[in-house]
Amino acid sequence: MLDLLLPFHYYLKVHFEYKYKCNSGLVSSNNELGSGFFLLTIDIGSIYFEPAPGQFINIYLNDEYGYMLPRPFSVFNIVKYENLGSAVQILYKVIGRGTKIISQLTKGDRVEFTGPLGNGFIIEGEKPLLIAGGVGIASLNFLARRFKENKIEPKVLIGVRDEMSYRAFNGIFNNLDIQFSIERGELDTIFKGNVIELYSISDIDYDVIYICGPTNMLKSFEEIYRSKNIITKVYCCLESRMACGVGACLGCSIPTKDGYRSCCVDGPVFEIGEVIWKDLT
Amino acid sequence: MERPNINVELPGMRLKNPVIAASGTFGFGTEYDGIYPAHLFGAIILKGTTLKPRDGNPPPRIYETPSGLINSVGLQNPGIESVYDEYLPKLQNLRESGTKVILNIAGDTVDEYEAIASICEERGMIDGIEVNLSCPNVKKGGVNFGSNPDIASKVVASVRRKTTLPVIVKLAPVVTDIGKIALSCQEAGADAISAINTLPAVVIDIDKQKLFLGGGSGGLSGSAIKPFALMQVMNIVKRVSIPVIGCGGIMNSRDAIEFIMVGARAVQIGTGLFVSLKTVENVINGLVEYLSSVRKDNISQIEGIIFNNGARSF
Repeated sequence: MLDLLLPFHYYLKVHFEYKYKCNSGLVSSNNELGSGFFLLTIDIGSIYFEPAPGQFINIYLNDEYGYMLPRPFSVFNIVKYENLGSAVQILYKVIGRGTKIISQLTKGDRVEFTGPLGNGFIIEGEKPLLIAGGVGIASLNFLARRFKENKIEPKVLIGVRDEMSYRAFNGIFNNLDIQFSIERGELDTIFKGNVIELYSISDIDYDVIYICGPTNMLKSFEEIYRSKNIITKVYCCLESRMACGVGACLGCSIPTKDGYRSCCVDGPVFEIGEVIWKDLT
Repeated sequence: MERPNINVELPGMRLKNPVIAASGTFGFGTEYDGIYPAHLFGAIILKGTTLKPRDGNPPPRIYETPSGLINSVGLQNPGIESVYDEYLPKLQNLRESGTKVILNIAGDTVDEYEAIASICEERGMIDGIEVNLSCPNVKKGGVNFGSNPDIASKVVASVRRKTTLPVIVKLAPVVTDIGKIALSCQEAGADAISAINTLPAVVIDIDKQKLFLGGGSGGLSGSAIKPFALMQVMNIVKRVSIPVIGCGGIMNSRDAIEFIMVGARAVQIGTGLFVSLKTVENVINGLVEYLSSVRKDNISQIEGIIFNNGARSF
């Protein structure tokens, strides 16, 4: 009887959140930002879809005789439309066949995906520092927006490879306090080097770090973290090749102090101390 | 015409449909909750389980190839006791709803297989056992249990001795004469054969100039292996009288029908589950549509039909 007293939206929430992680939507745009980066916007109507920053979706290619596995992408942003409905955005770079196929999606195409999947970031601290390598900014952008909703202004460091990548990124992050680093080429006012070098010379005051990027970048951060005895909490969003995305196939294992754990369900966010970095590939 | 009957009879269990989730792709049955409903399947086969917990291979563990998937998970599992304590209780509702639950077992020694079978017999909660023979025999210099009819039959006989549950034997595919191995499993007391397991495969990382997978080699699955799987199923079907469960690259109903036509009683889908969220639904619906279109009222009427039409094994 008590159940009947709950408002209707509660049932909807439970229904969609726990019973149905299979979703689909229509591509509203798939814009090339330059340098191989794309921003895909999928209209999902009014379905219940409330990912936490750091969670991801697994996009199905439905190419049964070709490249078969779904591709995991962090949620870059959720756009709420003024009337009913919303859209999920992902930021990705064309690397291989899967992302190539996704880059060919056009407005109106139906996209099937599962999600939100995985464990997102634990949101804490008053002075968060967000460090992104390239497309790793995807999950951190969504996190930054969540901080801003809570009236906290995060500092963001983004490392990009070259001027083209810089131009691709510059402009899609409105109202964020960002410093870029650039590895190749010269741009006035932009730090020359990688983002970890930028971090190590910066004098930003922070009380928690969130970091996402290629494995090598995370490893070099971890060396600094260890050598400098940094005591703040550091949350790392890892990437791995995945198949199922739900912990069934055990394909995306991450070496941790508790043994192998699945990137998809135990992560993709891990605390820095949990991961055995030397074994991470 | 009435809806064609797609129930199939395996020893000790009647499946509501012939589609089975292949071991290793459906976890321990609950991971896909809310995404891939387990009750769609005629049966699910749980992840390969060993006597003691196993860490599995170092990452990277998976790699995608054209129409293929190579995995090198290395039998990561929490061990038989944890499977019984933590996972199987959650699957009892599923069993009541009519989906059979089969446990895939693996070991390094014949004794290990035997010990797991005894635990299964004692604790129940499952509808059958699938014996994975694609494991290295530690006591015999790492030779695969499935590579030799005598060793294969020793494993099967020892499992058979310990349990009254239906025993399905999953065969390693790359052997000189798979029919002979299947026959020796039948003689040792197997109730059914499933074939094929993944094919051995490697991936080369040309940047690092070494093997890509953390475990060195892995197993190839997916559409790429289907023609080979079909031939091996044919070769088994011609030699044994027990039912054969076909497996290897099934993505849709056409693929499943091909396996049934070469004599498989039921089919397993593994990699196909990753490809689409509707694979199982599509296979079942497509199967029913096909049977209607060729005016068959029972799936058994197409089982092994190629042999009625002049095929021979190779």
